[in-house]
Amino acid sequence: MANILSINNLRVRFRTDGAVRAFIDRNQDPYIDAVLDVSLSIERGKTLGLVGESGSGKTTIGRSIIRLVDPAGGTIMFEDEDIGRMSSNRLATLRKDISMMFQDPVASLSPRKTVGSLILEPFKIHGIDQINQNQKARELIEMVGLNEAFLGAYPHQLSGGQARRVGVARALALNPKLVIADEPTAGLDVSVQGEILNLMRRLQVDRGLSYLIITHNLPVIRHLSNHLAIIYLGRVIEIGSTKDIFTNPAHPYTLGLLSAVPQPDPNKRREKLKLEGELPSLSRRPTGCEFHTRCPFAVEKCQQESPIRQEIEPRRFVSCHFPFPLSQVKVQTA
Amino acid sequence: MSNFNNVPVIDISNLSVDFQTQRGDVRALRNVDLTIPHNKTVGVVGESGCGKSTLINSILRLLASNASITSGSIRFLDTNILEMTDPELNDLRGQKISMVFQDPMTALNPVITVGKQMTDILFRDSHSRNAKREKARDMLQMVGIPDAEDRMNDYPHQFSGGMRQRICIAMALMMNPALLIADEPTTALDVTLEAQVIHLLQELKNSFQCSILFVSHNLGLIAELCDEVVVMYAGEVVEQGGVFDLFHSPAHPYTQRLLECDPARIEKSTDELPTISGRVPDLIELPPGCIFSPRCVSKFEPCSTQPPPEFVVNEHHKVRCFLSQNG
Amino acid sequence: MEAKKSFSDSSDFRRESRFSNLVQLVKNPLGLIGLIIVIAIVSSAICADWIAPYDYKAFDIKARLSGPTWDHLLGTDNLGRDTLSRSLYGGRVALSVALISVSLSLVIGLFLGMLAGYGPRRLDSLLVLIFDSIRAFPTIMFALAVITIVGPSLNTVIAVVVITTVPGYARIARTQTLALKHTEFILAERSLGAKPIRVMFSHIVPNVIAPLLILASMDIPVVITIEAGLSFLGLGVKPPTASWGSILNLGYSFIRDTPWMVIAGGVPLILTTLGFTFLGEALRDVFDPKLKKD
Repeated sequence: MANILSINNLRVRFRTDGAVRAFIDRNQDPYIDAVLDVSLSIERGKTLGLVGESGSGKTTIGRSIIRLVDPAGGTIMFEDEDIGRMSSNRLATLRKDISMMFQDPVASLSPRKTVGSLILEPFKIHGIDQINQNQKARELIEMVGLNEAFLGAYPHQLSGGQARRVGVARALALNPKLVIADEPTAGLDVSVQGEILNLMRRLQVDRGLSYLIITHNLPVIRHLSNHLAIIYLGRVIEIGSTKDIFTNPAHPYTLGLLSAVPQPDPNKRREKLKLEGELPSLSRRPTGCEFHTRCPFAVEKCQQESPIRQEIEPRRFVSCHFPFPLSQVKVQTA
Repeated sequence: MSNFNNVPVIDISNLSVDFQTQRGDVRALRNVDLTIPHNKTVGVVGESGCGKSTLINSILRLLASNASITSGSIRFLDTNILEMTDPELNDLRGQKISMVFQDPMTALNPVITVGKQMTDILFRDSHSRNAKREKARDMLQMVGIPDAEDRMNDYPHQFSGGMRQRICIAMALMMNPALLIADEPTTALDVTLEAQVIHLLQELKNSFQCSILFVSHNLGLIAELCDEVVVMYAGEVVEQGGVFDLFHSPAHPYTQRLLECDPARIEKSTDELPTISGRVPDLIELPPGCIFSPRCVSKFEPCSTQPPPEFVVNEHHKVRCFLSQNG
Repeated sequence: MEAKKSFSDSSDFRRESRFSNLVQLVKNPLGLIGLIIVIAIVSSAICADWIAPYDYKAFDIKARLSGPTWDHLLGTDNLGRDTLSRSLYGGRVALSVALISVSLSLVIGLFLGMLAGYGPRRLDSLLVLIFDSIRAFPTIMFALAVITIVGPSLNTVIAVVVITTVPGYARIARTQTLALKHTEFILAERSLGAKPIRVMFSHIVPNVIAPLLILASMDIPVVITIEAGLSFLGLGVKPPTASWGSILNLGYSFIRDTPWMVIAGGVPLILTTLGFTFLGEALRDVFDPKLKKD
């Protein structure tokens, strides 16, 4: 199978009101859909980038893959198994195969443990003790480019970049097949960002890893991912190869996101598509195409009918009534 | 203040700040020279630990108690901020110099309505309550808050992140300050909102005739908004100049590397992103020569022994690097 | 390109030694005084068998109600028992009641609090209801009621103290657990496959224990006073066992004859209370993570 993970029509909902409260308020539908009809797949050994603004549901998609949140519908197939139907015992072992890196490099490390014990934690959790612990810890810390002295450090003594490296070591300790990285470069300086991304890339090649990278940072994801899925209000509105999306965005939202990235060149000051307004609330989804409230090209049809997902190129999907014709709109996006 | 048009709003010369800690003195700022001309936007770029926040706190005289200013002066128009008394300082802060913070979620008081918070800033004015409310409403309209009149009775949590940052900007401009300090004002916002806030700042800059000190680590934003750029590294200003000079012909190796590292600037998709090897030096024990020399790829003989003086590239473009010694 | 290079300039992480907490505690004058008092009281209670000049229940009829003499450094009571010996043994009673009941409360409170904070919501509501109902009882009233039913004994005192103080610990543990529950590092552990028990004992306990220890050291003097109070009323230890409370009680009856009993019962009580309170405050300064991050 070419895909290590494929998600079909995933839906995740959260309860907004407690049962009693909902009854008092006569709230018939005390749920909001954080993720709706999401379908995407990750090829083995490749990287998929999940791009969206905060509140778009991209983190929730990531968390539902390792069942930190439970999906309300749809299937998540990992190799040949449906993660949504796994027993809790199987789930525990699944977490050897899929590991996750969290957003805040320092805060995702247990504050009163040393780096050494944090790195060995995955082995302890899964009861793997027939290993030479000291040697394993040293191997892992050197794999991510830190030296042994760091094994005795506490998380608060680390810089963001160092803590991120420890996070990478932990995520890769059990030789997972898929790594989900939530904003791997958040809070890092530009010069350190590159180091972490190069490290992740090197480890991917060495170990044949697949990555799901969740981010809002378009310039970074461009160099790291093979495919991109653009998320808006919990839906995938465009999906395709990174190169195609950057050169020929088909959805106006994608174009808006790309144009919003400031260019480090005063000659390229913004003369591009500017998106007005903000992300609508999940509890009051707009009618029709949910992007019509911010879309500069919206017409009446957009307010009334939801667009159907269409394949405009092989493996390139977009949900828009009037996608930009390919190779017509050339965006200036460095 | 119109007669001050030729005087820079802020003129910092030779500023040095130390922090006393258990391990020794941290030399957080060293011999910083910086001027903010009237009605210009000056951007300060630098990575974490470069002294950006110490610089802002020195201007507002809000340094922590273990800090001491060891040399230099900070002039605001015609007065030295370092010699001001407490009442003078209170007059300065919020009225002549105001600030927009990084996190709009925490910069507003959560239990007071937005309208009340805005009119409270005008406590020095003798206008009637209605006049103050009107002014607050006009400001909110100007920063693009729809239904400003009604929304003044709302609490901060009823606004979204982008709206809150707009409110913060409106509040900062209520007193018609001569200088607006914006400290990473868009890091907490998404790209589309970031673009909106930057656009707003551009518009306001023209209508309010105030200078802006824009602090950011995002080179793209600096290029977008600023007239002049100051590059800081480990507590020193290593290069400063006009935005075009700096982005098109950077003279300091650190500026050059920083620009190379920005993934937004790399045209072709690449497997190996450039990095700056090494780390920011410990500010307690400084290297003897140029502060950047341990990480510099083009260092030569004098770099590791003596600190470089400031060389002039052109009238506005100055750099601390021996490479520019011969013009 | 230099990604493979190890950082050679990693700072020395061993600077923060295992004893740094103790050093910090001793540097604080309040902490030092507290520590000295506590050590003195605890060691005198432990060594009571060796340092007490007399058996605490031995009568010396000829020297009843005497003031300080070379034979009886702090005088004797109405039965001629040596007051110094009795207050040394009284310290033993006071400290054992305090330490046993406080550590029991701490362990039970920690466990219940974490269970409430980390477990299902219904369990949380039930436990909080129980805690709040118990807290609504005034300690002394509750103690009097229980003692009237079960009869006075040291174990009853301990049981009453444990029941009434557990909710305090549980509430702190619960709030801290709730705050930690959604932090990224707990999510990260869960994402690695850690089971709830492991998350609780390996990652939540080290983060909630510090405030509980502070509360415990502040609770010790409270418990000592409760014990002394109950014994003063004759509801604590049974005679002839010595307790600071019973010494005080006797002292009050004979205060016109000799003030020494009141002093012998009162001074150690006050010193112990002060010692543990100082220690508790100093501990709070040491454990407060905001002060620690310099």
